[in-house]
Amino acid sequence: MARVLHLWKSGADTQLVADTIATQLDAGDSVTLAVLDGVPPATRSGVVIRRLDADLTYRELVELIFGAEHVIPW
Amino acid sequence: MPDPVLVLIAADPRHTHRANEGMRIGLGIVAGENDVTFVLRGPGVHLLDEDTDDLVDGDDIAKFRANLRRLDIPFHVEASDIPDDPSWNADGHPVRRLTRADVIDLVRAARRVLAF
Repeated sequence: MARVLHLWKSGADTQLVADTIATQLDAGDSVTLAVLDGVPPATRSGVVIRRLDADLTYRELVELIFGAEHVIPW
Repeated sequence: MPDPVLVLIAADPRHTHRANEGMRIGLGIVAGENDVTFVLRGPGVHLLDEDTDDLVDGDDIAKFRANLRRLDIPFHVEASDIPDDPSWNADGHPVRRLTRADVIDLVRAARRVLAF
Protein backbone atom coordinates (compact mmCIF):
# COMPACT_ATOMS: atom_id res chain seq x y z
CA MET A 1 0.00 0.00 0.00
CA ALA A 2 1.62 3.24 -1.11
CA ARG A 3 1.23 6.72 0.35
CA VAL A 4 0.33 8.88 -2.62
CA LEU A 5 0.12 12.66 -2.74
CA HIS A 6 -1.54 14.49 -5.62
CA LEU A 7 -0.85 18.21 -5.99
CA TRP A 8 -3.82 19.78 -7.72
CA LYS A 9 -3.74 23.10 -9.56
CA SER A 10 -6.44 24.61 -11.69
CA GLY A 11 -6.18 23.66 -15.36
CA ALA A 12 -5.25 20.04 -14.72
CA ASP A 13 -7.28 17.27 -16.32
CA THR A 14 -10.10 16.66 -13.88
CA GLN A 15 -11.12 13.29 -15.25
CA LEU A 16 -7.60 11.88 -15.52
CA VAL A 17 -6.83 12.87 -11.95
CA ALA A 18 -10.11 11.43 -10.68
CA ASP A 19 -9.58 8.17 -12.59
CA THR A 20 -6.01 7.87 -11.36
CA ILE A 21 -7.09 8.38 -7.77
CA ALA A 22 -9.88 5.83 -8.15
CA THR A 23 -7.41 3.27 -9.48
CA GLN A 24 -5.04 3.93 -6.61
CA LEU A 25 -7.82 3.57 -4.04
CA ASP A 26 -8.87 0.30 -5.61
CA ALA A 27 -5.28 -0.88 -5.25
CA GLY A 28 -5.37 -0.03 -1.57
CA ASP A 29 -3.16 3.05 -1.71
CA SER A 30 -3.48 5.82 0.85
CA VAL A 31 -4.31 8.92 -1.19
CA THR A 32 -4.07 12.57 -0.22
CA LEU A 33 -5.12 15.37 -2.55
CA ALA A 34 -3.48 18.71 -1.76
CA VAL A 35 -5.35 21.52 -3.48
CA LEU A 36 -3.00 24.36 -4.33
CA ASP A 37 -5.64 26.40 -6.13
CA GLY A 38 -8.86 26.03 -8.02
CA VAL A 39 -11.57 23.43 -7.67
CA PRO A 40 -10.36 19.85 -7.42
CA PRO A 41 -12.11 16.93 -9.08
CA ALA A 42 -14.85 15.09 -7.28
CA THR A 43 -13.41 11.98 -5.73
CA ARG A 44 -14.68 8.93 -3.94
CA SER A 45 -14.68 8.73 -0.19
CA GLY A 46 -11.38 7.63 1.23
CA VAL A 47 -9.32 10.49 -0.20
CA VAL A 48 -7.86 12.96 2.29
CA ILE A 49 -8.32 16.44 0.84
CA ARG A 50 -6.27 19.34 2.16
CA ARG A 51 -6.43 22.91 0.84
CA LEU A 52 -3.45 25.23 0.92
CA ASP A 53 -4.03 28.27 3.12
CA ALA A 54 -7.27 26.80 4.41
CA ASP A 55 -6.34 23.71 6.40
CA LEU A 56 -2.82 23.23 5.04
CA THR A 57 0.20 25.48 5.57
CA TYR A 58 3.24 25.49 3.29
CA ARG A 59 5.27 23.82 5.99
CA GLU A 60 2.70 21.05 6.26
CA LEU A 61 2.63 20.75 2.45
CA VAL A 62 6.39 20.21 2.40
CA GLU A 63 5.99 17.58 5.09
CA LEU A 64 3.34 15.84 3.03
CA ILE A 65 5.63 15.90 0.00
CA PHE A 66 8.54 14.35 1.84
CA GLY A 67 6.30 11.89 3.61
CA ALA A 68 4.72 10.51 0.46
CA GLU A 69 6.14 7.62 -1.46
CA HIS A 70 4.69 8.92 -4.69
CA VAL A 71 4.04 12.58 -5.44
CA ILE A 72 2.13 13.53 -8.57
CA PRO A 73 2.08 17.24 -9.37
CA TRP A 74 -0.67 18.08 -11.90
CA MET B 1 16.52 -0.84 -12.88
CA PRO B 2 14.68 2.12 -11.34
CA ASP B 3 11.15 2.87 -12.46
CA PRO B 4 10.88 5.41 -15.27
CA VAL B 5 10.23 9.10 -14.97
CA LEU B 6 6.99 10.00 -16.68
CA VAL B 7 6.74 13.22 -18.66
CA LEU B 8 3.06 13.80 -19.34
CA ILE B 9 2.36 16.59 -21.81
CA ALA B 10 -1.19 17.83 -22.27
CA ALA B 11 -0.38 21.49 -22.88
CA ASP B 12 -1.24 22.78 -26.34
CA PRO B 13 1.96 23.66 -28.27
CA ARG B 14 -0.12 25.81 -30.63
CA HIS B 15 -0.80 28.22 -27.77
CA THR B 16 1.76 27.79 -25.00
CA HIS B 17 5.49 27.18 -24.63
CA ARG B 18 4.83 24.64 -21.84
CA ALA B 19 4.55 21.71 -24.23
CA ASN B 20 8.01 22.39 -25.63
CA GLU B 21 9.31 22.99 -22.12
CA GLY B 22 8.06 19.55 -21.11
CA MET B 23 9.87 17.92 -24.00
CA ARG B 24 13.03 19.89 -23.29
CA ILE B 25 13.04 19.02 -19.60
CA GLY B 26 12.31 15.39 -20.42
CA LEU B 27 15.31 15.30 -22.76
CA GLY B 28 17.44 16.70 -19.98
CA ILE B 29 16.36 13.85 -17.72
CA VAL B 30 17.17 11.38 -20.49
CA ALA B 31 20.66 12.88 -20.67
CA GLY B 32 21.13 11.89 -17.04
CA GLU B 33 20.77 8.26 -18.12
CA ASN B 34 17.31 7.96 -16.68
CA ASP B 35 14.56 5.93 -18.23
CA VAL B 36 11.95 8.46 -19.37
CA THR B 37 8.49 7.81 -20.77
CA PHE B 38 6.92 10.60 -22.80
CA VAL B 39 3.13 10.62 -22.93
CA LEU B 40 1.17 13.00 -25.11
CA ARG B 41 -2.51 13.48 -24.48
CA GLY B 42 -5.17 16.06 -25.16
CA PRO B 43 -3.86 18.95 -27.24
CA GLY B 44 -0.31 17.87 -26.33
CA VAL B 45 -0.51 15.47 -29.28
CA HIS B 46 0.07 18.48 -31.54
CA LEU B 47 3.75 18.24 -30.64
CA LEU B 48 3.78 15.79 -33.54
CA ASP B 49 2.11 18.12 -36.02
CA GLU B 50 3.87 18.21 -39.36
CA ASP B 51 4.17 21.99 -39.56
CA THR B 52 6.13 23.14 -36.54
CA ASP B 53 6.06 26.74 -37.78
CA ASP B 54 2.58 27.01 -36.29
CA LEU B 55 3.76 25.83 -32.88
CA VAL B 56 5.16 27.97 -30.07
CA ASP B 57 8.96 27.44 -30.11
CA GLY B 58 8.45 25.37 -33.25
CA ASP B 59 12.14 25.30 -34.19
CA ASP B 60 13.01 23.81 -30.83
CA ILE B 61 10.18 21.32 -31.08
CA ALA B 62 11.53 20.06 -34.41
CA LYS B 63 15.03 19.79 -32.94
CA PHE B 64 13.92 17.98 -29.81
CA ARG B 65 11.73 15.59 -31.77
CA ALA B 66 14.74 14.68 -33.89
CA ASN B 67 16.84 14.16 -30.77
CA LEU B 68 14.28 11.80 -29.28
CA ARG B 69 14.06 9.90 -32.52
CA ARG B 70 17.84 9.47 -32.67
CA LEU B 71 17.66 8.06 -29.16
CA ASP B 72 14.90 5.63 -30.20
CA ILE B 73 12.57 7.10 -27.62
CA PRO B 74 8.94 6.77 -28.70
CA PHE B 75 6.03 8.99 -27.85
CA HIS B 76 3.19 7.28 -26.04
CA VAL B 77 -0.05 8.83 -27.20
CA GLU B 78 -3.54 8.48 -25.84
CA ALA B 79 -5.20 6.99 -28.90
CA SER B 80 -8.49 8.86 -28.52
CA ASP B 81 -6.61 12.16 -28.84
CA ILE B 82 -4.84 11.37 -32.12
CA PRO B 83 -6.00 13.88 -34.76
CA ASP B 84 -7.68 12.74 -37.95
CA ASP B 85 -5.29 14.93 -39.96
CA PRO B 86 -3.27 12.52 -42.14
CA SER B 87 -0.25 14.82 -41.87
CA TRP B 88 -0.05 14.28 -38.11
CA ASN B 89 3.29 12.65 -37.30
CA ALA B 90 4.33 12.94 -40.94
CA ASP B 91 7.91 12.21 -39.92
CA GLY B 92 6.85 8.81 -38.66
CA HIS B 93 8.19 9.20 -35.14
CA PRO B 94 7.63 5.91 -33.29
CA VAL B 95 4.33 6.15 -31.47
CA ARG B 96 2.76 3.76 -29.01
CA ARG B 97 -0.99 4.10 -28.69
CA LEU B 98 -2.47 4.03 -25.23
CA THR B 99 -5.87 3.81 -23.67
CA ARG B 100 -6.83 6.02 -20.73
CA ALA B 101 -6.28 3.02 -18.45
CA ASP B 102 -2.75 2.63 -19.86
CA VAL B 103 -1.99 6.26 -19.04
CA ILE B 104 -3.18 5.76 -15.49
CA ASP B 105 -1.01 2.65 -15.17
CA LEU B 106 2.03 4.63 -16.37
CA VAL B 107 1.32 7.38 -13.84
CA ARG B 108 1.13 4.83 -11.04
CA ALA B 109 4.24 2.97 -12.12
CA ALA B 110 6.46 6.01 -12.57
CA ARG B 111 9.20 6.93 -10.15
CA ARG B 112 8.42 10.61 -10.73
CA VAL B 113 5.72 12.34 -12.74
CA LEU B 114 6.16 15.67 -14.49
CA ALA B 115 2.92 17.00 -15.93
CA PHE B 116 2.86 19.87 -18.39
